Amino acid sequence: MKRGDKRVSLWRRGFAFVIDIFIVNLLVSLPFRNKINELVGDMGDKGILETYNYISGISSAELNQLLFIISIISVFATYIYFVALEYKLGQTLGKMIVKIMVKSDEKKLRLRQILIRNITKSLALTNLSLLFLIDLFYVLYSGNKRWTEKWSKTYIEKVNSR
Amino acid sequence: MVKNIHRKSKFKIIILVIIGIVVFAYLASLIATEINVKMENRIAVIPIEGVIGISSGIGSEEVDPDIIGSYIDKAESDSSVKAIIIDINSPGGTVIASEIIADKIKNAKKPTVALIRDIGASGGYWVASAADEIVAYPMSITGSIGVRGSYLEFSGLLEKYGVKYQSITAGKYKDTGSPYKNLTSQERALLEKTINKIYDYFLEQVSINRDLPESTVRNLANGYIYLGVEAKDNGLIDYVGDEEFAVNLTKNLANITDADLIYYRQKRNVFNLFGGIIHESFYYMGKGIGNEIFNIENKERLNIDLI
Repeated sequence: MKRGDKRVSLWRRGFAFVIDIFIVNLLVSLPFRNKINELVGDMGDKGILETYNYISGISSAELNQLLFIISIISVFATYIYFVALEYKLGQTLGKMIVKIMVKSDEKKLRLRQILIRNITKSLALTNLSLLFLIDLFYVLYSGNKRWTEKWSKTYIEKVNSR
Repeated sequence: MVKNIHRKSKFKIIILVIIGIVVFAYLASLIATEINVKMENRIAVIPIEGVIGISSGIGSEEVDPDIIGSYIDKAESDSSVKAIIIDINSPGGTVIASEIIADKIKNAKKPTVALIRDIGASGGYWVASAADEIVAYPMSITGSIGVRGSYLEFSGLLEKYGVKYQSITAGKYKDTGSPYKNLTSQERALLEKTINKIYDYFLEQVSINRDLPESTVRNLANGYIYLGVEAKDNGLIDYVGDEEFAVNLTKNLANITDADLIYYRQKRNVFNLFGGIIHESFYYMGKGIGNEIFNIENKERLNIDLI
């Protein structure tokens, strides 16, 4: 299958990923915003940087526990988001916006392939982000595929590029 | 599997996934409520670690009085914080910076306890004295109530190499303390007078803060250090103990039996670094790079501090 003219730039893929991560984390954090306010106090008049500095400067067992729970939920939610949408539609919301989609090196795209290719994505914002970075840096070696994409035999293509 | 999916079906799938994630997160948040995330009582622990001074920019390790002040303000405005522990490990610092922090502590409405660790001397002790109670470890170094002024004088060295110092000033004592000329007896007397004024002020503040007669403080204020056990005997601190003791003491002062400790600590991260770089860049652009270059002499002049 010739894909030379349908390659997608890393910037485009990265942009789609950022959009997706933002959407998922926004959805996950919504039910917790009141609880975080209870622990941290009213940060309504503070900017993002000041809020971040303040939260990162507080060492509270309860706040750390809550943030840990949120990060665990975020890992699962991210995985569900990518697997469900890529399996059913071949695209996530971010990919729809930048007009790219997932394709299979085999005859059709299978669930097993989707499960494998998204293993490290959900770890991107956790303490295990190194795994995601290794997966990502494989692109420099392979040309345009992450390591999990090579493993799952999938690739990314522009929409309507045939 | 990906088929040619009708747009409506696509939309339904997206909505279902989003709803699924929100429901999942909401159910998980209900579990989180089982954890007692809301503490009714908290004790704020504010660190004073290192030399106290008004921050001189990126990489500065000094304890910035404005930052400490903001922590105290935050603790005061947080209704869950019932008391404040000032966690001190400082040899002192500049007069103004030490006083700013001490005043902030003194004016705090919530109970304050100073815990002196390795060292809480000179300016560090001034800060501690402003708290309601002072706890120090038995071998903590404290005291050192005094003022020091010093600078290197190069007039002899310059003379040896035939270098002359030319000073053109308006104001007889304008270049007093310049490292390039000999200090006259009159100038020395002036500087000593200034330092003595600062010393007297320091004594007065400690006397007020510790509710000790000024004569008693003056006898103790020979500039030398006292170990924690010695400071307890002479009244400069209230208790010899450790962190656990300080926490229990704080709870007693606040009339609470249980409390969570909340540490206020500025972590230096990449955001601070970039923010600091941008801040400093604009500061020097405004001030004028050339002006900064010609201020070199001022940086080698007399330094007065409480260390």
